Amino acid sequence: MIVEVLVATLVLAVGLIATVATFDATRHEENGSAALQAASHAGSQAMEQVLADGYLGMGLISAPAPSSDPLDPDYYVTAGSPGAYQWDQRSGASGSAATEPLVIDPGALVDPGPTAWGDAHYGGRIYRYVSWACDVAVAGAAGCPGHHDFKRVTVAVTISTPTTLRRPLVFQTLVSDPNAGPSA
Amino acid sequence: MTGQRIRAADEQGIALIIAISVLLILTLLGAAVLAQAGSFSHQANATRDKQRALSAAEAGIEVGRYRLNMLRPADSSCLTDVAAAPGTGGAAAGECPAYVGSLGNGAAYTYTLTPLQPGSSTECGPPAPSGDYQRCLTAIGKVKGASRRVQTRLDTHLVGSPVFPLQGAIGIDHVKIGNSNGSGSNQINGALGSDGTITLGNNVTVSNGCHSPAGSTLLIGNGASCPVVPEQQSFAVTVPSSLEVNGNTFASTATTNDDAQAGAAYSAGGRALHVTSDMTLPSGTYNFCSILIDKNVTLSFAAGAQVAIFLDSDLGDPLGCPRGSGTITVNGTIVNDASNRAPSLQLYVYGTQSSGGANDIMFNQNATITATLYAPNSVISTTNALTWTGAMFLWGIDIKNGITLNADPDTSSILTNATLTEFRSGNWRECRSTPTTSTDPESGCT
Repeated sequence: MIVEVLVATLVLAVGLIATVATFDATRHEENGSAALQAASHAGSQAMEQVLADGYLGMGLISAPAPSSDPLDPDYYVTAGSPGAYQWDQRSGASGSAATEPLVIDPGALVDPGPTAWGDAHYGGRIYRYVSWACDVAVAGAAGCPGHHDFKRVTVAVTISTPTTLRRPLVFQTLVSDPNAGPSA
Repeated sequence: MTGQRIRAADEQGIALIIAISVLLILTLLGAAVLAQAGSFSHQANATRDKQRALSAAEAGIEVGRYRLNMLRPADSSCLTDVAAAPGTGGAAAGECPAYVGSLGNGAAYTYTLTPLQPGSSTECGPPAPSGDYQRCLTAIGKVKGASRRVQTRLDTHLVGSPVFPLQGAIGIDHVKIGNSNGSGSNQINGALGSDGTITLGNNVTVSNGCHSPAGSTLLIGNGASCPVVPEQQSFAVTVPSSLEVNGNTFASTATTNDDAQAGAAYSAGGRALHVTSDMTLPSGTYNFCSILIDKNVTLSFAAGAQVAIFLDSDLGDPLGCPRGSGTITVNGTIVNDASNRAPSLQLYVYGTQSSGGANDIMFNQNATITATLYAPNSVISTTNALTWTGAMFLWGIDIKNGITLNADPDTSSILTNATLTEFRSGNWRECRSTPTTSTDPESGCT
């Protein structure tokens, strides 16, 4: 009887430990998911704010500084005048086809950041980039890269609390001059 | 004793059964919690992907609209990256083929653009304003499994073309800027453009590039920087005789103007403005045959003033302007109030020759000016430091001793009279993620 109670206690203890571990892992996962949700909304909001600046205001007021950390969004910035940004960050994508000159204009309205986002529970940083995109259909093969057809707006969001997301969330869109025409 | 043994024998194994039962309940509870966490995770990833897909769909709308205005396909044509006929490229009969583009990082967009339709069509939502025509542009953004679809009605608008197509300075024939002294002189905070030759001295920097079509030349000195931006075609020039801005032309302002507001500095015979002492020119539209500002004298423009000056010449008005007129010579300075933006002071110069009037515009003293200057037949030359905020469009730019040019984005809002048809976004709506009729890309957007 004593042996049986001991075995039952042992089974229960193992079960309880496993359950607690499961709950802990689940809580961690749920926190990560909630942080991802919050970061998505922060990124979406930051994108809308940049778009609200209008085409003419869509430029970086200063050049972001490159980073050597591959998990830092500024890792894809190349220093120079005016500097460049690798918009396609998939492995294998590099070179002139995946990199564009940054739109730097002291009179523009976009602060490259990073700026903090979040509250007491979740948070991180928001990075903003505006680069010149070239359209082969308009500029021709000889005109690309180089021709200024679109402004590519990229918003990268990192999560630093409560967990560290390994890769930043990247939101991207293209914006054209609403007054563009053949004579412009 | 026997009874106790029997009861003990009956209870043998009960503890283990209870423990396993409790374990079973805990396992079920854990599984439920795990499933819930998985659902949260899936939901979070879906939220991220759907928001990225919406941005991709919006990019599709921008690309489609931009290409439509730049490539201008025939009214009966659809548009991918080239004009395309309905029913081609895998599209159903009467429908337009789709263009698929990549945004990188796993995001892609697809758009379809219909041929021109009457403004009364409701395929793309409410009808366009009366008198307009429309095209319907539908775009889908995709990221992993997530998909968003948006649609916009593009309405025709009759618009003017920008007087200043670049935010910066254009010298149709040439731009020549001397060496920078390294203390901020000869810095172009904007773009430079030329169909001819751009020559930059040592250490001159141009923040938004040198724009030029094929066949033009860029010569840059040591330490100078100007990324090349190729242009598809030469810069469009509106000749002064046909220039019309806000309903004003050289011809109309020659007879109807506010010149008398210049007071004693104005001489009606020959329409000359000769500024011999500090003065302020009020808001108005002026047409002078020549402007001369004496040394150490300032011509000012007050806060909120809106001034357009047409500098005519005997080439444009042979009866009203004396022979040899048509020049602006600044031996003093011109000061626009610091609160005014560049479009508040607009200078239009007819020119003394059909191209390249070398002495038309001269600045002979240090000057800081906020204004726009349109002089496609004239050359501007300086002998001292010039700081210009705004935009310039000239035949030639010759800067010897220093210029700081700060482009003002507001200058792109200055348009000539309306002659171009452009498409602008009218109605916008989000659609079901897939068309309700598989062969009709515009369907499912009620």
